[in-house]
Amino acid sequence: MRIATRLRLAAFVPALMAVLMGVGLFISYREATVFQGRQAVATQITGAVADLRDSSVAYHANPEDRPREQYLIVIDRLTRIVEDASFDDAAQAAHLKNIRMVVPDLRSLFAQLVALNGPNAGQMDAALRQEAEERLTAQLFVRSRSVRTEATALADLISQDTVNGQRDILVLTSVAVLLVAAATSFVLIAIVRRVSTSLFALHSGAEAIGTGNLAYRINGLPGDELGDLGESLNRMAGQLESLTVSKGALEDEVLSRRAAEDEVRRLNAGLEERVMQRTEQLEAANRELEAFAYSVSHDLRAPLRGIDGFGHALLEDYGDSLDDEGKDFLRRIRNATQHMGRLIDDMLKLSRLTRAEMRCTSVDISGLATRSAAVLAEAQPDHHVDTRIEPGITVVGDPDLMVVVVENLLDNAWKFSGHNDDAMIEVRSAAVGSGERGFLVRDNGVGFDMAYADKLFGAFQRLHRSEEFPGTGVGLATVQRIVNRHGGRVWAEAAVDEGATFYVALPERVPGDENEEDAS
Amino acid sequence: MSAAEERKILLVEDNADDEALTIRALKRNNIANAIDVVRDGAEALDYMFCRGAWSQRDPGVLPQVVLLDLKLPKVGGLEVLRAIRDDERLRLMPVVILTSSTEEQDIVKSYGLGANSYIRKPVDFDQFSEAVKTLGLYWLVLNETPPK
Repeated sequence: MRIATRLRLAAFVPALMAVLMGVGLFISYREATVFQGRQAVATQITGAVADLRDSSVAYHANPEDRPREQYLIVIDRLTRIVEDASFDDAAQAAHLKNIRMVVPDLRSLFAQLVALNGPNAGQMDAALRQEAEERLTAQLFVRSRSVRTEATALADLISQDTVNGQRDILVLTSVAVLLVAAATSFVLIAIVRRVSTSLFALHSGAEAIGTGNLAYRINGLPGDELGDLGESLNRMAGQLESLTVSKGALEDEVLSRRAAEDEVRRLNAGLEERVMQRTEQLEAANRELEAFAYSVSHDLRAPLRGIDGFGHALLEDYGDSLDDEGKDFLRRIRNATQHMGRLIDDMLKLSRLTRAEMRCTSVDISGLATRSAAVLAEAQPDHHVDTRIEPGITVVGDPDLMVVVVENLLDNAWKFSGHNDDAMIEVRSAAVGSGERGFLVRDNGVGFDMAYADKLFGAFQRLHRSEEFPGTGVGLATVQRIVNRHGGRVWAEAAVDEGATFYVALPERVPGDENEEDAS
Repeated sequence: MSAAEERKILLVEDNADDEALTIRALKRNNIANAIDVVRDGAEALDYMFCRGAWSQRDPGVLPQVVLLDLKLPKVGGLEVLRAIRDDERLRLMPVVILTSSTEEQDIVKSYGLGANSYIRKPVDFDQFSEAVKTLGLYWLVLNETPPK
């Protein structure tokens, strides 16, 4: 049973007590009224009997009409009283019955006495009459006393009965009140005991859970509000426990992540160290390359200059001593020497391209191509070329390097369309990938076999004999080197005798360039 | 002192072939000025400051122009140039760098140290001769040297 219900019931107990006491008082009041009525009857009877005796004494002393009338009135009254009265109690009823039986005797005896003193009294013998009168009087006295005795006994009985009845009521009421009080106390004590037991269990449980024993469960509570509270505490402890478990898992996770981070940091440090080492190696290699290039630049050309110079001196000073073949040999020596000089120069240029710092910005390819074409046209006025340059082509790149790219591509196109009477060179923007800008240089010259396309961009690689088309074979290698440095792509499409098209695609933002911001 | 003595050319050149070719190119282009040749940087400094083998030289006579190679034994051409420019007496003397390389660093350093000109020796002798002719014409004929 719920505590609230119990307390509500316990609250009804005083009300019940009040009702019980009220009922007891009511019963006691009603009984008292009944006893009072009975006592009144007894008192009336004894009063009437006393009046009757007084009247009979008065009449005996003075047998007049008035005492007679008085007596008759009293006897009537007594008759009425005993006829009206009734008693449940057998003893009382017996007394009443005795009185009822005697009262008519009193009336008849008094009537006989009155008759003795009546108008016919003179006819009787005085002594006789005296004797009759005495006899009647004695009988009346006996009967009266009998009634009085009966009435007194009845009154005593009634009185006794009243006392007994009131005592019974008192006892009954007291017992009832005591019983209800005892029951109330019992119920309240039971409630308090159960509540305190539950509270104790709850307190111990809360303390255990509160101090960290999350596996603790509160058991044995009744199914009341405190039981519910215990269940709630148990659920809370369960959730705390699972939370603690997941917290533990989280902490493990954090620890392992931290370890992983440390590992990553360590690896990164190692990586940085290796990068630094590689960078140093690269820088050392670059320095070596630079020293090499410097040395080549100074020392490799001097002997060539000697060969060419003395060859020239020989021709000039001793040309007369040589026949034509000898002179031709000398010329060949000088040509070869000068070619080697150009090779060295181109090689140095190529190596310089990889070392020079890049500064990227927007570059007007159309403008560069136009100037290049003009220079070529001026250098070779005999070679008429129809040059078509789309205006407004721009890319993002180093302007100096882009000049080299455009010059080399146009120079190539010019050179390889040299044998064509309707030579045509086209520079247009090209469709390239997203995030790229590109252009193409197309000529209608001799083209080349695509089977050798992979050799096209190699340094000192040539697809034509130098007698046919002069050059060192560094131009396209240079172009590719520059485009690569910009993170771009260069490729070609061609067919023999059908011209060639060179494509250049450059990213709109050059990776690793510090001046990218300018590139727009 | 003859006019040729007055208008000397100093050639600082370690390569005998280059020396011969330079002199040939000068002669070929009718540049008749006297030519003193020194073959390394140290000797060039001796010449400038009239020391060692050149102790008998008149310090009051300065070359009309110095043709200075950069890559020299003992003391490099740039060091010689620095010494010339650091010296009160020599600092206005015209110095033409005549060398093989067109390395950017060489050109920048040379001008930085006060070179008056920088000429690269071409492999092709015809071009070389043309270059020598032009520089001779310029520095020995057209150019007015600073007053003594």
